[in-house]
Parts: sequence; structure tokens; C-alpha cells
Amino acid sequence: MSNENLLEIKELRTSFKTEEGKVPSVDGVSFQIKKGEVVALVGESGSGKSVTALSVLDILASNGRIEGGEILFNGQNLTKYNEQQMRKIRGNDISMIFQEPLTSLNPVFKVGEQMTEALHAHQKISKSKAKEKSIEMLDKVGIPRANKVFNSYPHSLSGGMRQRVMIAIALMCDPKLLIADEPTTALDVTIQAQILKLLKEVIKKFDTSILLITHDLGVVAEMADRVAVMYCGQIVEETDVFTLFKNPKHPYTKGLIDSTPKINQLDEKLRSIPGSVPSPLEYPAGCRFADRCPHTMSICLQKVPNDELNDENHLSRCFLHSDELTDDEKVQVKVN
Amino acid sequence: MTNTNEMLLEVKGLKKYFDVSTGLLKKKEAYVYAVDDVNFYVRKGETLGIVGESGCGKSTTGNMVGMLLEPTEGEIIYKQQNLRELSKKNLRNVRSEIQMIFQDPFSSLNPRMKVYDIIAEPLRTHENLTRKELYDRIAELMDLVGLNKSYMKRYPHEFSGGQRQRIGIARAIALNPELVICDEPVSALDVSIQSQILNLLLKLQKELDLTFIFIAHGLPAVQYISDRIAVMYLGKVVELASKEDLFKQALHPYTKGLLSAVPIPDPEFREEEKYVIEGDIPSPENPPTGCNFHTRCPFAQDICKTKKPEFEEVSKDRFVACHFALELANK
Ligand SMILES: Nc1ncnc2c1ncn2[C@@H]1O[C@H](COP(=O)(O)OP(=O)(O)OP(=O)(O)O)[C@@H](O)[C@H]1O
Ligand SMILES: Nc1ncnc2c1ncn2[C@@H]1O[C@H](COP(=O)(O)OP(=O)(O)OP(=O)(O)O)[C@@H](O)[C@H]1O
Ligand code: SF4
Ligand SMILES: [Mg+2]
Ligand SMILES: [Mg+2]
Repeated sequence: MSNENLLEIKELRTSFKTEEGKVPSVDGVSFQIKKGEVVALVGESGSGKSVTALSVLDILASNGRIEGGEILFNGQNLTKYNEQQMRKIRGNDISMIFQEPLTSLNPVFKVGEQMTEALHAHQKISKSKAKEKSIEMLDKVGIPRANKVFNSYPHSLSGGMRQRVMIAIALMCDPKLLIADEPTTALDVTIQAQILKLLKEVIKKFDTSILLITHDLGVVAEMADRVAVMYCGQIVEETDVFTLFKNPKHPYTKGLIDSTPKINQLDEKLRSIPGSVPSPLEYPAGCRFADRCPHTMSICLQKVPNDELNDENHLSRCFLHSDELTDDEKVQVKVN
Repeated sequence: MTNTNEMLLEVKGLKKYFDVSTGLLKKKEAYVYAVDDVNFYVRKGETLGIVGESGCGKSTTGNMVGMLLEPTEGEIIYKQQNLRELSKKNLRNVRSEIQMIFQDPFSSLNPRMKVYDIIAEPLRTHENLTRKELYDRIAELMDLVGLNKSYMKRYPHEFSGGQRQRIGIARAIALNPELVICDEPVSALDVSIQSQILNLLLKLQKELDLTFIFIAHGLPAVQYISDRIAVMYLGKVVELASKEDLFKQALHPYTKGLLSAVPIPDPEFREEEKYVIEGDIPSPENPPTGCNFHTRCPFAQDICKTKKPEFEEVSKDRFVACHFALELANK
């Protein structure tokens, strides 16, 4: 891992137009990924993880729009790129793998065709060379009988094999950044273990940076260097993986860790976070976690806690860590 | 957790083969061996967890015990009565005593019915209550599962996933059941909501003296709620043991692999050597001969390819189906 930022997202805001109103799915998100680093974006359903990823590649649904912020890739602001420039980036410098490989693999084309197409789109390369390279890559991602799979249709493969194919396609052009959106969520746990092992090898062999999106703290603990915890379209905590689990600061992160059952701690009682995630059309005015938090103070209902990293390179978007509060602002409020 | 040692349910040699023959006059005969000789018992007041990967036969097993599905073969003995030979009257009683909760709170609730009527339905079918009694009972149930009584007149789509699961639970416990079969009740929910529901189930079990069969593919949730755990693979239970025994020392190679595959939410464990089971799950239409795990098992010997291992009690309350279970114990 180097010290240079490969990807730098600054105050990203992405929203969707819907019949009920404007949905602020990503609302002021900032984080960085260094070369060779694995950054995990973790959070519950609807917190804005996928939309963050789709914004980076500019492949949002037609009702979605990046409204503000910068996405710097190797120092270049991608939000200023036109479609033609973006096409050069996608599948080449940055590639993405999705949760359900069947929906992202084209069912009417053979695996091999989809792989060589990825190559031809970005490189001048002969047909036979492209085939050779593809089979080599299938082999590298642990697909037995790569020759045969090269000539198969996606539906004839198991879920785990399809995900391997997706990873192989994603790696074809030697991407600098791999975005993996819930790459193992749809898989069985023994197959998940195989894919996570493969991703670890990819990191070692190819020195790729990875933005890993997941809601599974187990996967985070196993894979990530750094972690950003999202809640309601914002990052509420960000730090290195060891600090996050040993010394979580934000009440939401703590709640998440305490409500995750652990197979290495049999007798531990699980805690839960009361209530549920608010709808994006009804986000509270102050801290978005205020109506579920066990420590809510009067200021939490009025003001938005800030989102800066502290001296230890640790962010917690919470007033509990502010030492400038007045006694009035510190008054505890009962919310649940 | 009360363990009265009293047997509530016994499942013996349970099988379900789905006929998937194709062609004219079903010329090409084919079966999905969804559940293939499953044996277990459940004591009153305990929770038996059933865990295993997709397609291993968990729901099919649960549905047969819940009398939603007719077994191909085998016996289900509930309170000393064979469920397949019940009289009409007894069947009605048993139906009210065995209830189910399902994975998808979105599709298992009728979208056109108000919460009040959803919970009232089983009560109206099975009990003769006055309007006032019915109302009071529903209010009581909503309170029990942590739903605000003022939501009675709302429709399912007006609730979050966790709240919908609470509605399903209220409905399932409305008739004071004895046994509740929970089929992936938290799999569709967010982490913070999963623990709310798991804790609710534990609370209800204590207060109402319920017995649970808890089905899930996620070992951590099963571990949290169960007293004993049955591990299924390709239609068979390969290991069944108390939670403590299972986690202290798994005996079946598949259980070992399953335990090792679950990522532990603590980065201090990330460097630990993992035992990763290679290969894919074979098709249940054409399961391997002998021990059906032999195609993926790192310890397989010749005998495993030809001879089916017995599901044996190797110590009290501990069952395993592997030719080498005891030899592998310390590997
Ligand atoms: N095309 C769209 N139109 C309207 N709203 C959308 C659209 N896509 C996403 N959203 C909304 O944006 C928010 C963030 O969605 P996103 O898919 O990023 O969540 P996520 O964190 O990836 O969740 P999950 O864990 O369920 O994948 C949600 O409230 C979602 O409903
Ligand atoms: N009605 C049916 N007809 C044919 N095959 C079926 C039918 N119902 C289930 N099966 C098959 O039986 C096997 C066992 O299915 P079952 O639903 O019991 O698995 P499960 O363990 O509950 O899986 P999951 O974790 O995905 O819910 C699977 O191969 C499934 O495809
Ligand atoms: S800012 Fe207040 S409400 Fe928000 S997490 Fe911190 S203490 Fe809780
Ligand atoms: Mg997503
Ligand atoms: Mg099932």
C-alpha cells in the first residue's frame, strides 16, 4: 500500500427524483482509497452504499443525478468527464462486480465472448491472443477446465462459478480499482469463503485497490484495511479496521457490532438498536441517528454533527466527542 | 431455557422426493431428493436449530413438520401421535398447536388485509370469541410482540421489515401454540433488526413456554437462539449436537468447514488458518453415492464412495454420519 490516493471522494451528493419527492441517497460523503488499499463501505439496507459506487462509475439510473462534490481518480475529477471519457475508465481503470452475477452477465453470450469483448473494448489485441488471455484469467480465478467454461453460457454455471467469471472479467484489463458490491451476499457460506480467499489472492497478486461494499461485519473484519460506516446517506464513522472493532466511537457502529451474533462467543447476549432506519424522505433535522440513539442530547435534535477526521485519522460523526457543548446542549433527551 | 426432557416431536426416516420427470408420459424419470432419511427429536421447551446451505432441504423438512407438505416416506410423531394418521378432530387441534413463521415478511402477509384482521384470522377460525374478547386478545398480542396498538388499522406495506415480521409472529402465537417452526425469520432483515427479532423470540419462548424449530442458513443466528443444532447437507442431517459440543468440537468434516467458513467479526482472527471446503454443492437430483459429502471431503477414503455412513449416536445426544467421525475428532 502506498501513501498516494487513488480515489478521493469529496462531499459527494447524489439524489433521485421520485413521485414522492427527491431522495437524497448520498448526502455529503467523503473518503479516500490509497493504492493497494481495501476500503469497506458498510451499512444497512438503503444507507447509500451502492449509489456511492454507481456514482463513481456514473452508471446511475436515469432518475438519479450527482448534485455536488468531486470524485477524483488519480487526481482527475470524474464528475467532469463526458460519457465517452467515462467509457474509457469503466472496465479498464475501474471495474465493478455485483451481488448477483447472473444479472450482470449477459445470458445470450458465452462466457468467452464476454471476456474477450472486455479486452477488445480497451486494447488492440488479436482474437487468438484475447482468447489465450481470457483462459489464463479463468484459470487464475480458480475455474477448473477453463477451456470448457470459456465456451459455456452463464446459466450453466453455479453461483460460485459465475462470481468467479465476473471477477475474471473485472480483472481482464488490469484495473487499478475494483469495486465489489456485496460480492458474496448471494452465495452460500462455503462458497463465500472460496470467493473471499480468491479476492485476497487478487489483492496480493495484482495490487488492486478495492472498494468493498457489504453489510456483513464478518466480511469487513476479514478483508478491509479501512472502514467507512454509512447510515442514512452519510458516513458516520471511518477508521482503520482494527480500531473500528476494538474502539468503535459512534453509537451506531457500537450498536451494529453489539447486535451481530458471533460464533466465537456463545453466551453473549445480543443487544439491539431500537426502531428502524428512517425513510430518506423523512430524515431528522439534526443527527440522523438521534431517534435510535441511547445517548441523544438536546443538541443532537437541532444540529448536524460534523464529519472531520480527528488527529488519529478517525472520524465519528457524533456530538459525544465534542468538548465545546454548553450544559443546555448536553441535556439528555429520551427518544425511544 | 426449560428442558423438561419430555419429548414433543420425533421425526423418523423422513423423506421427500419431488417428482421432476419430464417428457411424454414422464418417460424421463427424475426426482429431487430434497429430504432423504432425516431423523431428529425435539424436547418440550427447547430450540432445535436446523442449519445448512441453500437447497439442502431445511424448508422442505420444516414444511413437512408444519403439515404443509406430505412426506414421501417416514414418520412425524407429535405428542405420541403420528401426524400422518390423525383423525379429523385431532388434526384440527394439532394444526393450532404447530405454527410457522416465514422468511419473507413481505410476501407472507396478505397486502389487502389490515393488521387487525391478519392477526384475527387464526383466532376466528379456531376460537369462538366475542368482538370485545377478540379485540383485547389482538391488543395483547401486539403488545407482546412490541407493536403499537394504534397500528391495528394499518396495512402491511405501511410497516418496516422488522415490524412486518412482528406481525407474522403475533399471528403465529395467537392460538397459544406448542411448537413454532421459524423458517429463516431474520434472513431478510437488517442486522440491527435481526437481533430485535431474535431477542423477541427468546422472550416469547420464556413467557409462553414455546418450543422452536429454528431454520436458517446463517450459523451465527442459529447459534444464538438454539439449544441443539442439526447440520444438513444435500437432504441429510450430517451432524446433530448441543450447541456447546458442536462449537467446542465439530465431528463431521462438513460441519468443520461450515464453522470455519463463517467470517468472524473481529479482525484479530483474520490471519487464522481457514479450512475452506473446495468445489460446489452437487445437484440433489443426482446426489453422490455413499457418503454424499465425499466429492468435497478432504478426508474421503474409498469406503466413502460406496458405503453410506449411518447417522449414529456417538455420545449422549450427539449424532454424526461419517465413517471417520471419531478418528477425525482431533484433526
Ligand atoms: N433508482 C432509484 N430511484 C429512487 N431511489 C433510489 C434509486 N436507487 C436507489 N434509491 C434509493 O437510494 C437509497 C440508497 O440506496 P442504495 O442502493 O445505495 O442502498 P444500499 O446501501 O446499497 O442498500 P442495500 O444494502 O440494500 O444494497 C435508498 O433509499 C434507495 O431506495
Ligand atoms: N416443489 C418442488 N418441486 C421440485 N423441487 C423442489 C420443490 N421444493 C423444493 N425443491 C427442491 O428441493 C431441494 C430442497 O429445497 P428446500 O427449499 O427445502 O431447501 P432449503 O434448505 O430450505 O434452501 P434455502 O436455504 O435456499 O431456503 C432444493 O433442491 C429445491 O430446489
Ligand atoms: S450525535 Fe447524538 S444522537 Fe447522534 S449518535 Fe451522537 S449522541 Fe447519538
Ligand atoms: Mg446495495
Ligand atoms: Mg428454505
